[in-house]
Amino acid sequence: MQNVLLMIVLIPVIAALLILPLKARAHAITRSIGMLGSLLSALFALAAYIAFQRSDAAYQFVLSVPWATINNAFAGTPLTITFAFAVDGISLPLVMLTGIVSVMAALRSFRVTERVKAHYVWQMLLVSGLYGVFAAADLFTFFFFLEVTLVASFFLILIFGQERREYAAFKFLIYRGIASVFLLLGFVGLAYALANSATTVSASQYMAYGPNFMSLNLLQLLDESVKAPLALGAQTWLFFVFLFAVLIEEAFVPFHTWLIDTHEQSDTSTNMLIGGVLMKVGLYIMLRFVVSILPLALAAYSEWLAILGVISILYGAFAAIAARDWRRLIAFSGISHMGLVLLAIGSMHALGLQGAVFMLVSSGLLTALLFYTVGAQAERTGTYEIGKLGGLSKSLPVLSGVLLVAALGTVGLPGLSGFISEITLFISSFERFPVVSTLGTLGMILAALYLLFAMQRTTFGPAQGAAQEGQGIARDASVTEAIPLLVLVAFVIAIGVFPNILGVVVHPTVQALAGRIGG
Amino acid sequence: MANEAWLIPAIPLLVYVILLVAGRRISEPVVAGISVSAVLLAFLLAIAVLADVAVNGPTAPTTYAWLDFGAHSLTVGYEVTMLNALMLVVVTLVSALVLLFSRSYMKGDERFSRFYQYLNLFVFSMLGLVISPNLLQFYIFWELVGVCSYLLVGFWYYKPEAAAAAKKAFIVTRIGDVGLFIGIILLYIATGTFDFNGLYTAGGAAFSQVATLAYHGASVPFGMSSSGFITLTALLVFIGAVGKSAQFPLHVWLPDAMEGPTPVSALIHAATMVAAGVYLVARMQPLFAASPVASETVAVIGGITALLAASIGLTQRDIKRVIAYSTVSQLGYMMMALGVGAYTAGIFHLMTHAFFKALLFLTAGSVIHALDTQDLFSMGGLRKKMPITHIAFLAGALALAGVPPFAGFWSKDEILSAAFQSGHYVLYAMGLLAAFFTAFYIFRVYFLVFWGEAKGEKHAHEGGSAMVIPLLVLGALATLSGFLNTPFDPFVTRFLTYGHPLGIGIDPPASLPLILVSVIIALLGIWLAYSVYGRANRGAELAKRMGVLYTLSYNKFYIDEIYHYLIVTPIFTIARAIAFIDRFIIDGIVRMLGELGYTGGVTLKYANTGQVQTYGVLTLFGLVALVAIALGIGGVL
Repeated sequence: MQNVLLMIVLIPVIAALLILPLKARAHAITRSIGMLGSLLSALFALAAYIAFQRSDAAYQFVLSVPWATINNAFAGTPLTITFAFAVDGISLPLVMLTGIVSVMAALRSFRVTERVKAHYVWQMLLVSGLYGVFAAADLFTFFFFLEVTLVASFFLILIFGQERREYAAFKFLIYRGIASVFLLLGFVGLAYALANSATTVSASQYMAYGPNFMSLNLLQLLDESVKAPLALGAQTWLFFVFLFAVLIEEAFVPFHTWLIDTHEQSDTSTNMLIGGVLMKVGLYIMLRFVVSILPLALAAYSEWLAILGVISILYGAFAAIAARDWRRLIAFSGISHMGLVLLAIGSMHALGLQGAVFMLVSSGLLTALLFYTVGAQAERTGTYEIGKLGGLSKSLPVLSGVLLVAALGTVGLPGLSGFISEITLFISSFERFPVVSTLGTLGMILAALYLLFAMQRTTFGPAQGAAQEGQGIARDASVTEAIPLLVLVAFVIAIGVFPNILGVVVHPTVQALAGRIGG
Repeated sequence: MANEAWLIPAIPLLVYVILLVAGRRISEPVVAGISVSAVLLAFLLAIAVLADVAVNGPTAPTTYAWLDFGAHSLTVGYEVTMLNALMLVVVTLVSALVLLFSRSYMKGDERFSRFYQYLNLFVFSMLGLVISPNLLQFYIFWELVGVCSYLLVGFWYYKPEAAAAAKKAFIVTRIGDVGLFIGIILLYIATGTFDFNGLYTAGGAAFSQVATLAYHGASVPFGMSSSGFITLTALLVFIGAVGKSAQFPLHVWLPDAMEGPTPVSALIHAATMVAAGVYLVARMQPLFAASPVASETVAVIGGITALLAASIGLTQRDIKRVIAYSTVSQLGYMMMALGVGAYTAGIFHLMTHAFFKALLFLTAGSVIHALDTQDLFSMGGLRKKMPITHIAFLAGALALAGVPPFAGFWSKDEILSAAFQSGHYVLYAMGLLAAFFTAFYIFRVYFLVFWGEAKGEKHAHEGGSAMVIPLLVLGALATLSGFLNTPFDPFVTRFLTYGHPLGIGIDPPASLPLILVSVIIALLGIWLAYSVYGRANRGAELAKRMGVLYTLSYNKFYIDEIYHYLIVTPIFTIARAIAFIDRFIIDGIVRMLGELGYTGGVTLKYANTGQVQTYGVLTLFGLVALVAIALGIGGVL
């Protein structure tokens, strides 16, 4: 099991390498390799979930592969750059999320007919990058895979997007590129800050690491940050550097416009991977680096996180009400829901962190499901425009039914995954920020408003507009199309009805993490 | 038997799953047959459970671990109390009859099995709600009930009115739900538990002191006073009930919800959806009892709702709409009862109302089925053509109007006398006036539909036995169920107060003068209806004489319109404003920055002339500038 994470990350790359020499017209074999690669990785992710020690809050499946050594990197000592992997109760659920969504996206990509090879190659690299980000146990590894996702998504948008794809792709690249710069700055700062403190700590550390020591390894950094916590001043600077990167990565208002363009221009499987998985990375950074290593700064500015969160909740919800395009609506809905996670992190409590992880997974599944469904509908009706759709229930009962489930799940209906996330994080946030949280609950009403309006406009009422014209040729979901729908719905229901399938993994880790921030 | 109570909701759930998987392949009679017999079986189990707890008292909760949760572990499970044993019987009985009625009513509908599938889910959700031992599980089923009602009201989704009504029902009740959601969260923060028993035993009779301290050591959250916090949470919980049980000001969804198929209306109005709010307040009685302010609020909102809805019911032209407003009004009575502390009277009225309201809706359905219209003024003379429906409706109307010995008389009178004897004289007067209106409007319907001349060409006749049997059973219940709790033998009261549950007082005995006043009021209403609509239709004349009052009532006091301008329009205005800011200001600045970068690049490219002389001159300028700066700051960096 020791290499399980390496396998998960490498398999999609191998699949991409296998696809590369194929002929451009060998669609079937390209698709099969892409599908198999995604599936195999996901199965390894499942194996990791099964083998994971539930009661253990620590990192598991730790693996470190040295890559390069820089001599005299810091005060005369060398710095070894490694590819290091490990997961804990926060990252494992996100690795699982990546597994589920990537397989469904690979199935969805069966519908791609132009430049199939390029699509699968970039998609496999994007998947590998996403796995790598969540499984990374090293700052360099993390950053490396984050850049892989950046490049792979860029080409997916640029090649397979709609008419304004170039604009959207470059906007994506510039925004997330800037975020990466800040993240790099934060990582370097983190390494230096903790390296300095290593000179002043215990004898055992001295024995282990020598007099001067610098590390990029997350486990060692976490260890350091507990034994010799950074001073508030250093934490504050790093906090703001990370926060800025996260605000862009996670498309918080007002740094969100790139996401809207990206979603409006990308094809369905890319949207599923970006909206469902990549858009969870920013808050993962928050949980991984900010909450655990910079708790003092977090405590000092937690109100601001809560307020930023609520601004995103409400802004996203209102903008979603005004949205006329399904993809735009889903994008804003995502922004609104990620605002909830920021509010939860701001509450600095174990329940808030648990709710945050639940919400990341739940929102990932539901966003992928929504994109898949409206993509399948658009394929039949030729439009994403809500006003041009209507009465699809008659001709497309399965797709319409799934859209209903996805909408209700996003609204936070109990029995589906969204609810348990919401109540958990709100219990935490109400305790610290009753007023701000009350404003946040308005998002629950507004979500019902925009999702029901759009969903009913699309599926209820008499068939009309694009639906009517397409009625003769429109066929409901085929078997290969229905699998992703049913699988995603099954996970959404499973988490809603048996939340402990996620809870047992998340709970020990967030309890331990909450200990660091006094929650 | 009470330990197997989980079977009661499990049965309809099983049927739901069967229909979900295989519904399309099963014929209509089989679908209906499975569903009706399943719910009937659940009803028999409920009777057994009721008998068990009547003898042995309530059971302790049976729970299973559900989620590791902070320092705690959340559980799900079930428990049988006296209150929910009674609810189980009422819900399963009414549901079984409605399911049977639907057999004929929905015959030939394209999505017949889907309809039964939803109905089973609806019944399951309501039963699950009733036996929930904790607030979180309660809320889960509470929301499921809401979704089922959404699906069923919008069952004919291709009808724009039905789709709009479903959406309205979901969103308006959602507003209440968020109140309840916050209330549950605050209670958890204060007590560290979702369990009803945990809340109550921690609090006991003095809920106000112990429970809030259990979790937080010595301090109530947010530095509030203990009583302030109790009042706040009770009111938040009540907001949930206001939404679900269609109390003013969130009552607007229920009358529109009649756009759904009529059996759905019967289910929503009688046994499932709206009963949940009243049940919630009853279940949380110890919390409300600990806060006089919250209790008064419940009573006053109940009284306002009773009177307001009754006065709207006077003038509506749609038969289902009149009955729908009567539901709103009767729910107001129940809330009023709970608010003035007449716990058992409220629950008893919930029960009798379930019977006669299901009866009224099903008879209305029978009429609509026969005539294909819902407009009262297109109906008439059905007394002879539909004798069974006529008698059944009359029984329901008498029960609703509160004429002895019909069921509604006993329960409504208990409420009114409790209001009077607890010193709520204004509420009593409002309740009495509402009772007068009630008698008038329901007999207005009765005379318009069953008396006078037959209208329209359609040949009206009784439905099949599947439609008649439920009418007969409910007719008998509407006539006789009042005797379960009379001043002479308060059986239901004794049952509900078994072992003196916390915070529940025994209702005061009824007094003869008060009973006489109620009866006279009811008969006056009926007499007025007879004199206006019974002999000849002089409704238009009366409407003209009432002038602006008539207009207000007919237009439902313009509450929908007020909400439209005060709430709906502002929300969409804000949304459009944000969309504008987003597109043109935020993204505008972004694009401007992008343009700046591009223009800068384009401009600077002209500096690349390729002429060495130009480069030389520029380099010289640069050098001079650097030297100047170096001298200025005193040294080369």
